[in-house]
Amino acid sequence: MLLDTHASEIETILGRYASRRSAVLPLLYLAQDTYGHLNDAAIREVAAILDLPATDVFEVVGFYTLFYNRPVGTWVLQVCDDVPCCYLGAEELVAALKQSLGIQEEQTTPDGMFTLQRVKCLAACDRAPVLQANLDYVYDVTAERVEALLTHLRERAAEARKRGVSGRFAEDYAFGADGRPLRLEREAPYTPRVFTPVPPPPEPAPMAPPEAGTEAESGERRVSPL
Amino acid sequence: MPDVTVTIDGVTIQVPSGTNVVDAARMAGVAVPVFCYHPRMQPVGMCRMCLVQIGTPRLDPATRQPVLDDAGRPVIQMMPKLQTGCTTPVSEGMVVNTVADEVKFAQRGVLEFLLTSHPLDCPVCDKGGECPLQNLTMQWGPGMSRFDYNDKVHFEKPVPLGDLIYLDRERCILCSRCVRFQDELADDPVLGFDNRGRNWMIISKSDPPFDSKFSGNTTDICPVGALTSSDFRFRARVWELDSRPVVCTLCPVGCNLSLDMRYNQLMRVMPRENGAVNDIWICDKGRYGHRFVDHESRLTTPMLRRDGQLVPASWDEALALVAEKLAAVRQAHGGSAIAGLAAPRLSNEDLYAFQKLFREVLESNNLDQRIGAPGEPALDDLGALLGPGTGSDLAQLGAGTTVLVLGADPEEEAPLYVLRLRAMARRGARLLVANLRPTKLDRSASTRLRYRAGAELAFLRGLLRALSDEVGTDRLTVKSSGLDQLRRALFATSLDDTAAACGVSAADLKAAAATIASAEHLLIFYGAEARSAGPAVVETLGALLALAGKAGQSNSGLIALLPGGNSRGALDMGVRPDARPGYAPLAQPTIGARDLWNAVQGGRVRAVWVAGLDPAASLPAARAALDAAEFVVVQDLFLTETARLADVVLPAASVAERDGTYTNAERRVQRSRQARPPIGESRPDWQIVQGVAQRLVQAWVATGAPAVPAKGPKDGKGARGARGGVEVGAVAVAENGGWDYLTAADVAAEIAERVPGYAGVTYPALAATGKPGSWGRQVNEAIYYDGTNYENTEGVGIKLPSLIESGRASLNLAPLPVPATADDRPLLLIAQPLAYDGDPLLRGSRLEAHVPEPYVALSRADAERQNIRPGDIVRLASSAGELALPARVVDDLPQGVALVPANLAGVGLATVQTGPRTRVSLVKVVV
Repeated sequence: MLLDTHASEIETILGRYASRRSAVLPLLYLAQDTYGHLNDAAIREVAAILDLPATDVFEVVGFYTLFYNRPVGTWVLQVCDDVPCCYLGAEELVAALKQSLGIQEEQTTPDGMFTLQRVKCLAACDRAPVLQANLDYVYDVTAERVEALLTHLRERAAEARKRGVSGRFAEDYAFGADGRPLRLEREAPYTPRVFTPVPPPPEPAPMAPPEAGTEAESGERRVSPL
Repeated sequence: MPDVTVTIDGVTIQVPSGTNVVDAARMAGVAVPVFCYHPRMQPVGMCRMCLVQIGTPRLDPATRQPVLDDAGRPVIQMMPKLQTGCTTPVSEGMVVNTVADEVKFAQRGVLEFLLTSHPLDCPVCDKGGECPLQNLTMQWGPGMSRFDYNDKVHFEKPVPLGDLIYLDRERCILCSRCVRFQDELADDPVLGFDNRGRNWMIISKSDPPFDSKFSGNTTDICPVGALTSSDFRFRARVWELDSRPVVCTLCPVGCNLSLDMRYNQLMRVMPRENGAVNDIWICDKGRYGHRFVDHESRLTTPMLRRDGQLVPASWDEALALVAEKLAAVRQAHGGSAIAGLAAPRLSNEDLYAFQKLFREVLESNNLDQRIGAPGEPALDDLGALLGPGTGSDLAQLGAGTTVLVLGADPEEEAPLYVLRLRAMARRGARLLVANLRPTKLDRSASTRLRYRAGAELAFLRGLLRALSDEVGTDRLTVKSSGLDQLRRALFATSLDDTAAACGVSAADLKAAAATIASAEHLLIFYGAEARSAGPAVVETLGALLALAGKAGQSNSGLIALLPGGNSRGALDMGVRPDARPGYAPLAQPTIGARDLWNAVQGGRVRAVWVAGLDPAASLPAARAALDAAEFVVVQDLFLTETARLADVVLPAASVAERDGTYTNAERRVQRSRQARPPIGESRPDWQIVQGVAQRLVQAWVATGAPAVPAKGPKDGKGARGARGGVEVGAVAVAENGGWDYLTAADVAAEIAERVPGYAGVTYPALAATGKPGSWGRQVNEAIYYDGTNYENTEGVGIKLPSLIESGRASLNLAPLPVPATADDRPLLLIAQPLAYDGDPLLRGSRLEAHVPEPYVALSRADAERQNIRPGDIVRLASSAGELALPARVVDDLPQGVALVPANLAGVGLATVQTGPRTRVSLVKVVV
């Protein structure tokens, strides 16, 4: 029971609000992180703590997509497939993830490690393509960086289990020079990315699919035609 | 509120300020189509069906005065876009156009969208024929949809929201009427919306799902066929149904029902609008709990005991045998050797005839409406003496009214009062809820007062003391006695001491007293918990009303929540051992139900007639006595435990099968009509009684034996021959001693003539109380309410004056002595009335599944002390006996109280009870 395991945390959360029902979102996050997802019993438990009708809490869970009412993996990968990310390779990223993980969207890998979802704009278009792993931002995830990312996330599985899927303590990651994801300081001052102009190709590219691995130069990015 | 002048489609009218445009248009005779708007609930503007053009006078920015045109008329500035009429309040000079092309275009568009995924399954939909979506589409909608039929979204269906209500997601237009009804009106917030966008759906996640006593109303107000009632689904088309006006007899509210019959089969039960009683709502008990009418176990023929077996017989045989046996007992032992018990759910006509037979023909006053169980409290007189005065109408009460609800759980005892009380509170009434344990009504209260268990009297004395400190006794205007004794009792202890004794602070008592003192109208509801604390508590409530100066006034008074749908009528009709009809006290106390079973065993009573009650089911003493009695007659709907012990069993007609009048808790007399012919050979109770009476009278006339007191023949039988199966031959009045009623109307006419207080309450007078309200299925009314409820053609009933008002009685204020109890067992056992209990009338209904298994509810503190967990078997022991039940642990129950459901089959509460409240000790049974 949450009241047994997280008594002081619940107390702190409740103390932040004038009325108990205001604490419904933070308590649901807490429950989700504790139980992995929000099953029926967990939602009712939150309702009981807040003295709310159970139906009201189910409504909240049903409304917000970041509350998972079905089991999810240790890492929930939410790939933005909105317009800017699409231009910069979101579809390729999704395809690479699907191939690497062997699952479709809204599915979880058999080992319970990854759940793949498509989402709309994550508000980081300047670092597209972007995905969130348990709300940890990962910037500039091109398809070829998928393996590095997955390895990195597998290494951090224990940490993820400890922190929970809600991303209450989410961090930001970009890829370092060695191709491995590198944690960014949240409070670091914003540095706009420097775009290196790419000279126009000498002749029109042949109509062939882009070959994987040809753009391996790390740190360098394709530039959108826009 | 000041009136505002508005012009709607060229019609200029004055409407109260604050009215919304939809309602204002309706007052101007203009129909604005709506789906989500409902006049009983707050508008939300979700469906967009009520879009209209609205303009207001243009104001000069400098002077804030309307700009006038050349002709001197204000220039109207139309709002740039269409507005939702339901969420727009009227303002002075507003101009509304509901027929502009732009409006029509919007209405067609809204309907086209609402129908994008509508399954168009009207031919199999329960709502078809009374469906606002159907009707509004016909009148306002486009003839064609531009959406492809094959693109309709499909969902799994039906989704059971509970076992009473099924949801069809494809039909749902997400207007949230049901959600808002549950939140705002019923205060059972058990419905909500899940997901969003196309996947939005109604869910209920309470435990059990859709846990509300008012769930059926959501199917009425659903403007489409999304919510359907599980016991009506696919049973009939609504246009085949014949609505028969009936009064509900399942609790003392007396809700107006329509029994929707197809031929002679009950298809569904719907509310009938009566603003003074149930508005447009009914509870689920009334809606689902009438399946007993058609139940296969109904008795269809009279039965006689031959060689120890009950065998079918003819009415002639049965009635002759009853008459013969009763005559013999009376001949040998006198009338006092005969006793009669009649259920407080029978109609006034039945009860009047029953007591008339006993008092005038058999010359016995051994009558009662109870069964003699130890838990039954004293009969309630004060609800009549100080009932709400003439002209009372709960629908009119709001600000300026104070309502005190003492020791009652209206949700279980009289569910619809929850809606009425909440409606009053919403209109501004102050709602004081005082009880020893929390009830659902607490949530709606403006003041909650929790007194210590057993300290009801101290609490009320404290309240009374605070009230008299506030206003003195000058307001006491009604005829009364005993004021000095009362004053002495009140001032014997200080307010602080009284406050300490009852557990409510002196400040709270004073505040409550001030609320009561300042009220323009004062209503006091009290229920089983209050009545179980003894008659002194109820007496003190009377004193409270009288000292507040509200006794005998309109819209002020006491309302007792008694068990039985016509309990007030039974008291009025004098089905009791201590008073004749109209509360005329008897000089000699006679044998009531409490003494009856001993009297039978002792040979003082030889013959017992039981109408509609089942004492043998719950009282071992009654079973033994009935076994031993010389002659037992039972008239009932079913072969009850008591009927199995009878010598003669007479099949009675149910409420649906006969005419009758019923008196509700507020003493409003309402007429119920026959909805179908009686099942089998069953007869209305009054006819059965008359059949026996006629035979007795004839026998005695023939033998010249004891003269029957010849009461004058009645006249004024206005409704004679109006309706009703009659097979009584025309016999001279004198010969029949006044037993020549042809119809129930004749009995009612005699009641009006002979029962004090019922003067003028005849069937023609009841019919003349008119069509109430402006709702129901009336021409062109589909815009709001089609399918909601049915037009009331039977009138609103007649509110009887209170006894004190009629000047026939006076109020005794002298405090009743309180018997001291020497029992020091630790727990107070109280029977808890439940709406869904062992009432045999629930048989055959879906509510049977809602009847709980027997249990005893304990407070957490009491349970933990003895390490009792939910489900453990505990033994309750009193000075009378023992009872073993599974425990329930209830968090909000005060320590020292144990609750056991009253009237639940198989509990055997009578074995342990010593009175309405019993001191018990508790032991966990270790297996």
